[in-house]
Amino acid sequence: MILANTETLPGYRILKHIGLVQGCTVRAKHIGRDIMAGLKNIVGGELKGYTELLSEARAEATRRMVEQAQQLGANAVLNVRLATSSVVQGAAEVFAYGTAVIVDQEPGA
Amino acid sequence: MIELIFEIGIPLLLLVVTFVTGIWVERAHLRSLELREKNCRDLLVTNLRRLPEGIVPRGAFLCVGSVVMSVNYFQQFLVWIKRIFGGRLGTVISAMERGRREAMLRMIEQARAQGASCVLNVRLETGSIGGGESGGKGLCAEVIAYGKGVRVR
Repeated sequence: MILANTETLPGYRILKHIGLVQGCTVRAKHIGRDIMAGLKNIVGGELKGYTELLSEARAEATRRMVEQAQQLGANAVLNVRLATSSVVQGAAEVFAYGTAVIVDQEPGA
Repeated sequence: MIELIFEIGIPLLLLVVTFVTGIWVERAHLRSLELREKNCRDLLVTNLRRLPEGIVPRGAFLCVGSVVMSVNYFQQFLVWIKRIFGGRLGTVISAMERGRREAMLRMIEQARAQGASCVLNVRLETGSIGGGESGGKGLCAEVIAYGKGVRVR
């Protein structure tokens, strides 16, 4: 599966547009991490627990999007967008969406 | 004694009732989504900006669909417990997923009503109204989907 955040794929030609695919997840860290992050917030700097939380969430959202694309028979997802929102306090919602397409390597590329 | 019944009984009753209605509402929504999505398969919906080669446009317009989703009393209780241990918040994921599909469908249905056969450059946005950053008590979020409907020759 090829993922790209561009609209075209250099060296490939788009055979078929399948449509929008998306994946989302909402995750929280356990309360200990929340408290530590609250403490760290006083000092400032990176909140490692939350960095981890968001990267895990992003990986999961992307995985779900890819799964959906595979189900539809695509072999690439173009114009991938990642967005984050906070629906529940202390939890992160991450969603990924893109256009599932079937691509083929251009002759000579 | 009566106070105790009010303090414990009512929340307990609400938990049981919303547990049942929650499942029912979710199932009904999923059924309706699947049915409507089946009718929308023929439209091309993408977040690419250009039409696929060989398709000639005849006109374009903006399509918007939005929905505000919430989780019920029982699900909020689950979220509250789950936040102690961390991990995936399944009920919220389900609500947001359904919200996103609903918003997309409303956008697509608007596009179809105005004669479009493609929706290009689709964007999805989320805004939290209660809970989250705004600090409200309930838990609700708005999902907006918008794109460019294109009439095709």
